[in-house]
Amino acid sequence: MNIIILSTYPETNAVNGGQARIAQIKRFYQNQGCKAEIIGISASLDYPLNKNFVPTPSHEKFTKLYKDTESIQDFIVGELSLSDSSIRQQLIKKITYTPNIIQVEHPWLFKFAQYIKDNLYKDAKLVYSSHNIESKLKASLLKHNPRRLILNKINQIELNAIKNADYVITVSKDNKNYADQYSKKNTLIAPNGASLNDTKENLSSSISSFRYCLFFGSKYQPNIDGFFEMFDGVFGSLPPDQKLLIAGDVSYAIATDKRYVSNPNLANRSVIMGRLPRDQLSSLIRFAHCIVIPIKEGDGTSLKTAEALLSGNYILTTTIGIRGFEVYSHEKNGVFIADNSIGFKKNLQRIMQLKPLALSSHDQGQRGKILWDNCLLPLKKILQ
Amino acid sequence: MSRKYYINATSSYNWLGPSVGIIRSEEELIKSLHKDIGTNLNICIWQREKFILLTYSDYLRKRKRYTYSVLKEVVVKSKYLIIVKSICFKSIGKILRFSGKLLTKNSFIKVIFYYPFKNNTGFYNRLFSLFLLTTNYKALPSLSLFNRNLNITDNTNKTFDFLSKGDIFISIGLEWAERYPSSFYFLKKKGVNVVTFVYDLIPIKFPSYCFTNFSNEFSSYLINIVYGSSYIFCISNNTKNDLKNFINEAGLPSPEIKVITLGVSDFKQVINNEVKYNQLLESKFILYVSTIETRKNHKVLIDAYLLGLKRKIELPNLVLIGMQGWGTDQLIKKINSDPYLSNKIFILNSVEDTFLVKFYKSSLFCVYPSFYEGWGLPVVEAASFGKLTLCSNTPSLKEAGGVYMKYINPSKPDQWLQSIDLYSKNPTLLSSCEVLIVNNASTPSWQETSNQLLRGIV
Repeated sequence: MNIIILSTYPETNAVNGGQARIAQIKRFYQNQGCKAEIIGISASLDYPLNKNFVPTPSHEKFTKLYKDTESIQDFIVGELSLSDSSIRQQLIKKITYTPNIIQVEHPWLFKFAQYIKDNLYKDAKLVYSSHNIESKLKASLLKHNPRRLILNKINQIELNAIKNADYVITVSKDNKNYADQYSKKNTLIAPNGASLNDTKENLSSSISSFRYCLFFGSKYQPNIDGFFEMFDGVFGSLPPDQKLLIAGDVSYAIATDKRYVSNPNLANRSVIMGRLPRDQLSSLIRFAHCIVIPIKEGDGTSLKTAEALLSGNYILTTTIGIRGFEVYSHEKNGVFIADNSIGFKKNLQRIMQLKPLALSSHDQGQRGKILWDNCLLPLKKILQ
Repeated sequence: MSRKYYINATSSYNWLGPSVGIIRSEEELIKSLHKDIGTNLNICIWQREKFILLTYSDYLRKRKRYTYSVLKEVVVKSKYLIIVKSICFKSIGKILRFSGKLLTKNSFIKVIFYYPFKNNTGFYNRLFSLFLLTTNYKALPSLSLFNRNLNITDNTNKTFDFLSKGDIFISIGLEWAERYPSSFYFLKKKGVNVVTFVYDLIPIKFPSYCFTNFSNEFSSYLINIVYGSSYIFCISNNTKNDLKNFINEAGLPSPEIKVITLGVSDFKQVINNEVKYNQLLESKFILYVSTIETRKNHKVLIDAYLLGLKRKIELPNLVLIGMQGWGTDQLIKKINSDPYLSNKIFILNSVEDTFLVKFYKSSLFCVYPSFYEGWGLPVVEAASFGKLTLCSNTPSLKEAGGVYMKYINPSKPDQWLQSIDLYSKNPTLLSSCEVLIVNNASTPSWQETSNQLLRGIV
């Protein structure tokens, strides 16, 4: 079976959860004996060049449609995939085989998928996949700059994808319930998972010499806002011999935020690790005493939570951060939940004084269900 | 084997001028502890990035030696003005103001730049942030985790080389600008009993009363104190409550916090026959002993006096004893430039204890309109002379003054005017208050404070 996955970001050099997810979906299909490629238009210059991707359109093309492009580049790319004949043709040329399944990651390129199905690949099934409810997420991202017309359009695009797809892939019960209101009832849940990454066996002696908690993530606005909301005010959770390490692109965004610069308590006890090679990040996760996931917004399930659960370390997160993984949410399993700043900081202080987490073999087995191969099993239904 | 006690005397040892507030507390406690435990008490000071031991007599000799008159000489002679850094953050401003034109441009720069470059690890993170702000970070390569030096160093073996497990280290001075409180945690881990005082949380509760960013520096210091102290003593229940709230909001661990009552200096031993301030001492006056700063709310008294002038109410003189703090230039200017105020209000700076006693004794009564305090030592001091204090109705002052003082809203000049007028013109009423104070008000000695401390750390 031939599958193409349409996306606005490539899977290579993944720095955000979406990239990691499509890479795993592609691998899953390939493991099932399918031919699968990720094809698309790169919505941001931040993504690396990829032979299967139409390069990011010029600034002029972006601003020709919408003056202010902040947080809606992917939406604009979707518009351009149909309205700009040059981009449309370039994208069509990237498809090198006849697909039986056209899967669209996020709704942005769904209309393009409908176009190629109608004109080129009439027998192909359409699959809509998203790890968010995009209309809600964009409304939250644009809350400081609400643009009703655009939000209405996004809502229409999303509903069109849910209504017209042969299958809808969601990541949580909540998202499935939302989709079920409009879909043909072929809605699947394939939660985000994690993989056992290669890790460097030893951290540098300087890092392994102290106990640390870790926050890692991409430069995704809810990551940044959640961090500052949960660590608001004086940060007293860590004694002088412990540190909060902040890794990934989110660390650059945090370090350049005036809330960080003006909070010496936080700056004193944290280390900006920056963007790290994957094996080093995996080591950092593995040897952390606790992983903090201070997320207060966003839909779907968090890849970070999946990865943290798989690491077998303590986890401190919010109700939103644990969504989709509620079954693991017990303090005796090392998972702590707090939804306000004081509770979050107090819990962190408490966790950092505990002995390293030692899960029972039963609990370890339970956490094994988080592996991508297990999470993506429902996708087999599409291939039948 | 008896326990070894060490007390950090850095603040009072380096203090230039008459003892006030925390300096007085440190000095008096050292003397009282010395009486209580004698040679078991060791005195140490922070000097050249480590603690060194002093003899008790060396400490006393130094305390007597420093006065404002020698400060002038020190400032002129000191090439780098490093002396400034070892005193306290607050006093930098005072010293710079005091030394005024004596400072060269060069030495001024050295002082200002020395301070922020002290070992505040957060500073380096902030410097990195500044670098990132001015850099296109997308162009930055991946940072190699394995090349980073993130060691957390415990150098207490060098900086506190005389301390060993089981010893008691008492540190109660002006230390929030110093680097060593961050080491207390490591001392505690080694089994040293670290004892600290928390006087108030004013920089956190009311940051506008302090230097810019001081609130942040102070909260970093408090975090170190909470993590590093085996015993924390607050000087009032109100401060204890403030500290508990801070601990809760910051996500800090909850240590046991005890309350200790600060003593009153034994002024009876202070005798001086020098003739000074006689005209003022013989006049009818009320007294306010406090640093002149915005929080102390001298303004309400000035407004009350101006209101009295408007209503043609004759009021006694007002004597203000205390150093001028920051942000009060306009207030001083107003007093000095107004013909009525300049004849009614007298500002005295650097008054030695000998004359302070005379002012307490000769005053009609005292006033204390401060917006917020950790305790209210001058109120208790006044009580030790049998004097009534009209205080602002804030929790700590009520705790210090008990039921024997009179409490007034600090924002109502009209109420201050009425009370000052009432008690200055009604000797019978005033004397009945004084009798109650003399017979009932609690005025503990420093020896009692010392005993409380020793009992509290058993």
